[in-house]
Amino acid sequence: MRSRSSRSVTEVGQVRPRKRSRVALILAVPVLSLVVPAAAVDIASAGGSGLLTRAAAEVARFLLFYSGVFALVALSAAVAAGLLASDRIVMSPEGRIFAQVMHRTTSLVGISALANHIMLEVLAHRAGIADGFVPFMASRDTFFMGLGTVASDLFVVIIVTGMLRRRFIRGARRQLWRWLHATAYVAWPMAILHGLLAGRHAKAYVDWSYGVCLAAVGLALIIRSVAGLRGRSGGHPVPVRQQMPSAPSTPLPRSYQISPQAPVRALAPGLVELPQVPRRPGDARAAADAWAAADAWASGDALAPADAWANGEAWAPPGAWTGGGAWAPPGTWTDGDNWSEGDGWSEDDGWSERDGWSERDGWPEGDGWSEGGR
Amino acid sequence: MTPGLIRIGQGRVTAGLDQRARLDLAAHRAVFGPLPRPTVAQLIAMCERVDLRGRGGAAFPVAVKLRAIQGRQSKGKPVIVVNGTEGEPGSSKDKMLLARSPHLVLDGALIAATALDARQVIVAVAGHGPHVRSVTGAAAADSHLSRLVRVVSVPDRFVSGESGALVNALNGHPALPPGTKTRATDAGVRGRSTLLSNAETFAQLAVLAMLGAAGYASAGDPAEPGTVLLTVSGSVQRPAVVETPTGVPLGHVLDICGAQPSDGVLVGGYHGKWLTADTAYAVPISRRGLAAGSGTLGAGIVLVLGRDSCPLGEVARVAGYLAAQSSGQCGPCKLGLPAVAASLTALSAGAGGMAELAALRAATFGVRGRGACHHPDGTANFVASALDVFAGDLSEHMFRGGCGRATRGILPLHPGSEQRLVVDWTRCEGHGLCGRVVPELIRLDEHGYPRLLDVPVPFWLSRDAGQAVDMCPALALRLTTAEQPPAVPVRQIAARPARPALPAAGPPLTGRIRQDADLAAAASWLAELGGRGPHSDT
Repeated sequence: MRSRSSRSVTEVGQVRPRKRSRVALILAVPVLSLVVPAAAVDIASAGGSGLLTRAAAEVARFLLFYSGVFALVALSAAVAAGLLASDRIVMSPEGRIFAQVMHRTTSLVGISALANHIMLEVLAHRAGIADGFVPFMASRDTFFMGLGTVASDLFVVIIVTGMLRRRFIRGARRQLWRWLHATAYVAWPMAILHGLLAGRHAKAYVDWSYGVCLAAVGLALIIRSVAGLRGRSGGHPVPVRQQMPSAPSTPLPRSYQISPQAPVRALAPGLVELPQVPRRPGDARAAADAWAAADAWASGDALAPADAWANGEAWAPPGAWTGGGAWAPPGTWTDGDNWSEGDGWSEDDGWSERDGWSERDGWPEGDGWSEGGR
Repeated sequence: MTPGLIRIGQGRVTAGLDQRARLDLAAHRAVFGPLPRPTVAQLIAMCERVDLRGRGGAAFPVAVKLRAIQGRQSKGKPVIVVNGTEGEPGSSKDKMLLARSPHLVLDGALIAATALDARQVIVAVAGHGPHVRSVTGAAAADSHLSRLVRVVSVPDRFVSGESGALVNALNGHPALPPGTKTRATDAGVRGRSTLLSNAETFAQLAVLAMLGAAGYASAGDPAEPGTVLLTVSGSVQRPAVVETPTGVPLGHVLDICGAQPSDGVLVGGYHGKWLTADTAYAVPISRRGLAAGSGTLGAGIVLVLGRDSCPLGEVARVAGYLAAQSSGQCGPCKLGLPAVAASLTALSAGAGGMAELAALRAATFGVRGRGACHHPDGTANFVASALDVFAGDLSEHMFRGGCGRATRGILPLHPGSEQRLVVDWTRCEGHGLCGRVVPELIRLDEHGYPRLLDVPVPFWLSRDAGQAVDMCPALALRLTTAEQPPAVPVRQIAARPARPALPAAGPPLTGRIRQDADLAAAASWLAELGGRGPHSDT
């Protein structure tokens, strides 16, 4: 016999939602955006004239030139998509869901490009590591570099809290989250100023484009706040379903007709109690007469008493089934000779001396069963 | 209030349980005698003679399964699987058997194993509790058993006990019904021929082999002889597992269990059918008898719904549960059952008219026969029969806005540990995004405000539900984790004084011999089975 400790119940067939893969996929984007350029810079700075080195140098140069632009464009798109997603005037709910998805995607792309941008600027020795996080410390372009750092810090906070949005739903934290998220409208113009005025000079159409974007977002913000002040009227109502006519033109099927007491209840719905028809269990049923001795049950005869076993008698409720029916009459039981044999059914064949089954077959005492023994 | 054990006539699978709370191997042999060893031909002949059917709900003939394995094509020894998962919340008979008479179930499996020359018996159970410990203890009672028998546990979900899902689980996959139907007798566990039956079926098989066909047929309706185990609960004074010969009127069992005046009686569990009280009291307990009364015997579940709870609300609650218990694999079930539940919820809230009823009927009949398993069909049966039996209540809800009764949760459900969606109504501004992200769980009313389906979020919708929470512009929607009732430690139960859990009104009904021991055991195993007790007995 195996010991009880080695007895174990194998658990199989677990059903779990697939969740981790998606989180990993999302986190892979910023991680890759850091690893790929770092590797490129590393390979390029190792020197040599191989194809790999040249390609790595090109990648590093390209990213150094454009990752800031990508960050700014993506975060601008994120701001615009977020604003669109909150609109109830022109956007349909489906459109708003799409805008939210775009808002998240562009934010993720934007913050990945931002991390990339900061890292490459540091690796290219155009900024110190501290300049990536602490504003107004840069040796050149102090003010506009500082604006970029402030904007970057804010965006990191906004996006991280945005990903943890679910934690902010309860209580007053919801308002805190709103305020935190609204600082995007401060961070974004700072990022634009940084993009246009720190580093190389932008072309005129770029200046114009950002100007138009700023103006459009400002206008949309004004509309949003005004619409918010005017209340919650601008929804997209769900089409009203077909209403039930007050008086049905066609007669209802019989089963749906209203019961006679219904008019009374209609006067005070919910106040008048339902008619409780008291029905004694078994009332007016075929078995009722034969079963009048319900106290036979009450006195505890529901299970066959042990002496009935010993005698091989069938236990049947007194007089209950003599009227016949499908149930076998009591006499049938005595014919079942398998039951009356002395093969363990009679009481003296082992009941009395087999005592304390809790000691048997490794069943530990105090396991909930032991008290069931005698 | 915990179910007891009641026996009508002579007990067979419950024999000895009036003497002992649990039959260990010695007591079991004393009651039932030595293990018979019929050949497979003898076993098939006996099963055919008494028409032994599976007792898990599908009523598949055991002889057909045995014959299929006897004439199998596949190589290797067959495997015996005892299905003790009992996913139906309204059923406790298999847990009762495994907890109190585990060796009878194992005997049935051993008889089949001997006849079929199988070398492995797998007992599948769900969850944790005394039935698991009892059968694990029984399986290690002697060296022969411990070599042969293995106990495995599957997740305690409604569809885990479906035979295909169980075979999947035993083969190392998630316990979900497979998309293509293969009989377990052809290719089951590890591709071998597998005799998979319910725990009560194996107990009945053991009794049949011990008594012989003639002895077995000496009780009950001659057309379907033998006894059945019923689990009677709901609005009854004495919820109980009842062993009764077939052919006894169901009304008799209802009277014994102290059923209260009721609008309807559910037979066959949540894949079964509702009967009106008049029909329920008249029909005999047999497959044929219940089918003639447009019911079904199923796994022997009898749930009485009293007059003090709203029937439509109860049905809507169970429909929501069934929708959430679907494994979300097949489209008709995945989208259809939530639609059924949502329509029922709207109707029971008085918010639906004829259009909603038409939508409900369309959705109900639309899911039939369109899934990998029987789940959509069974649920459709349940809902359709409820609409017929509770037509009066339905009309009150449609034209009076309700029946004036609260939904009290008479029909048992598994205690939920899963997450639920909750709306902060003061914040909700009716943006309506949530209803488009999880239409399965949230429907929008005509003003664009959400109407939630009051069910735990099923695992296959947890991602979408999370997305709806994330997308709520007003931060009004959230996911909460429902508190699970803490598992009762074993020691605590053992230390508690034996308390005859009886209604204040009625005297004990479970026999005068050692009733205390019986009742204490019944109370402790059912208390430990968790959460299902005490529904108020009103």
